[in-house]
Amino acid sequence: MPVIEVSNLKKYYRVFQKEPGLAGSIKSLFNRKYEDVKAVDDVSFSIDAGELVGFIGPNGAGKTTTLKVLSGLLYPTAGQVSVLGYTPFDRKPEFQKQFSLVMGQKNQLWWDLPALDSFILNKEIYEVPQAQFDHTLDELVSMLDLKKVIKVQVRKLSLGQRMKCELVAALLHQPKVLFLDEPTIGLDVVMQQKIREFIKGYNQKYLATIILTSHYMDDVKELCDRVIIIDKGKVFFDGKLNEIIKKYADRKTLEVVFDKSMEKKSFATIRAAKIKTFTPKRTVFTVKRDKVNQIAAELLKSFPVVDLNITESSIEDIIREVFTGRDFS
Amino acid sequence: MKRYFKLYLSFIKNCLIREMEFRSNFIFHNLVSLIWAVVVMLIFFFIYQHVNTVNGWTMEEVLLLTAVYFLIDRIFDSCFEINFNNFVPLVNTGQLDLILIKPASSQFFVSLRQFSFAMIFSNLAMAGVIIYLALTYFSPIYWWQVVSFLVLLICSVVITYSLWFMTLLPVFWWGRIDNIQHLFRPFHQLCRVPIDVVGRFKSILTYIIPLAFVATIPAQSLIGTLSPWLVIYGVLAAGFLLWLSHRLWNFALRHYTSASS
Repeated sequence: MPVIEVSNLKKYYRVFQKEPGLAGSIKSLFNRKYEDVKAVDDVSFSIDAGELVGFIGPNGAGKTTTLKVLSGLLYPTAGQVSVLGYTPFDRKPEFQKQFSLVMGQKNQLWWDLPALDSFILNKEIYEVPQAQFDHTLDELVSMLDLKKVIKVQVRKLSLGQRMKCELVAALLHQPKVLFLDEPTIGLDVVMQQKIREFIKGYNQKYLATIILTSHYMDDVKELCDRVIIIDKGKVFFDGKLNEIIKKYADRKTLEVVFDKSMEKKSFATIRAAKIKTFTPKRTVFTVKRDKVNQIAAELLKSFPVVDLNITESSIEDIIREVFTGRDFS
Repeated sequence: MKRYFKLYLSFIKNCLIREMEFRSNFIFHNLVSLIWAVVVMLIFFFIYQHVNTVNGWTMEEVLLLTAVYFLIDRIFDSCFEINFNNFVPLVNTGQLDLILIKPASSQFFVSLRQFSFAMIFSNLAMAGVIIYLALTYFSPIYWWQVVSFLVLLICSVVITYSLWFMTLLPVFWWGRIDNIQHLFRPFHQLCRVPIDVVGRFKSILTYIIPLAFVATIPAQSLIGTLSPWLVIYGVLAAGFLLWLSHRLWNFALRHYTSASS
């Protein structure tokens, strides 16, 4: 039984177009051209309990809009959405007590007060019993190593400390469903890693269903078995992360280092290999998966090879290529 | 209901902790708000050196009305105005997102999240002026006058809140209108003078857009010139407008577009 079900979701915005410059501004005061922007255009997917799913896509792909519809913030233009059996936009308190939304660029903590005061306020809002509150707070604080931080005014905290406190504030009511919108944005590598470990731990410990959006592929690679790629408001891919490689990367990369300087034209005999970068002593080829062995053998036989390295295209590369619409087959 | 009361106490507590950090701000706000009230009373005092009554209102009555207006205005400011000033940025920057996901009334949140202590002394001073004027010029004051005054005081705050709140809602359609929270202010200022002076528009301002309930009618309850059924009408009007503001809020939220990510 899926926890999140989305079918044929659409969300259009009306925006007006303005020509650049002052003249354009004056014109737009009297005569505005409106246009529908299809932020989400016919998106469907379903997510089971306990899954940790990554939403990826370029800026403006519709990831955040989808999360906002799932949170009940935005009223969908069309389509059905169900989370934990509720229609999010009804914003029923019973539903709201079971999920949480964390946005890397927005904060709910009171700026001039210690985070602990905001936590206590959330306890009142979510009606968390005192004993459960104490227990959960203890656990989250030790998982995130925040003991000394929660009594300091939020405005005096570093971005990383603040993000950790935001996570605590969002999780005190032990949500079954968690939407994380770029939770690691702007953080340094060490802090990103800590947040990642925490998310993984939370997912396993509480069996929470989590959707994560991020621009950092490392977040997605480390955390998510399943990814949904969204582009221009449509689902482009939905499946296991390593299936992206199978589906879209039918080429491998062959990096060859030579003993002496080579000329580019000398590789003309190897038709099946495409040259990606060329220097006289080091050349990188891309080769169809099923031809890799044959070509590697040929290279070793006919050229003074010192070193030869076969690698998969990285997920970053593949996704970049998917988004730039390049033909990479 | 009890839960919201508890929540509101938490809001107030948090605001108090914060406010105590900014002491000079606190003192200055109180001072400015007192000066406002004193200057307006002085103006009426000087006007009444030339006339005895304005449309049946004597100087003492107008001074009482002014004190009532300022008391109610300051209560409104303490509870709501600080929130209304944050309203447009809240909607335009998408900070409303994190309020809308909370399992509590979002209208309650956006209207009452912050409480300003900056008017506390000014409020006490106005209450003192009202008591002084009432006892000096309008005694005897009967208990039912005090009760109806207190009821009308609450009605006045609720009516002002509801009307003002509804004027904020176009921001969901029109986006960036930074000063929409001031749209209602001129109409509110009109309530400083006895509503009777508007002549034949009086019934409209009593029954349809009940601005008469903002200050004139509460003051009349102390002066002793109020027909009792207007107290009942005030309660009904306040209830209806509050309900209407809630319906319109929910309708407006359908057009919320949030902002960026």
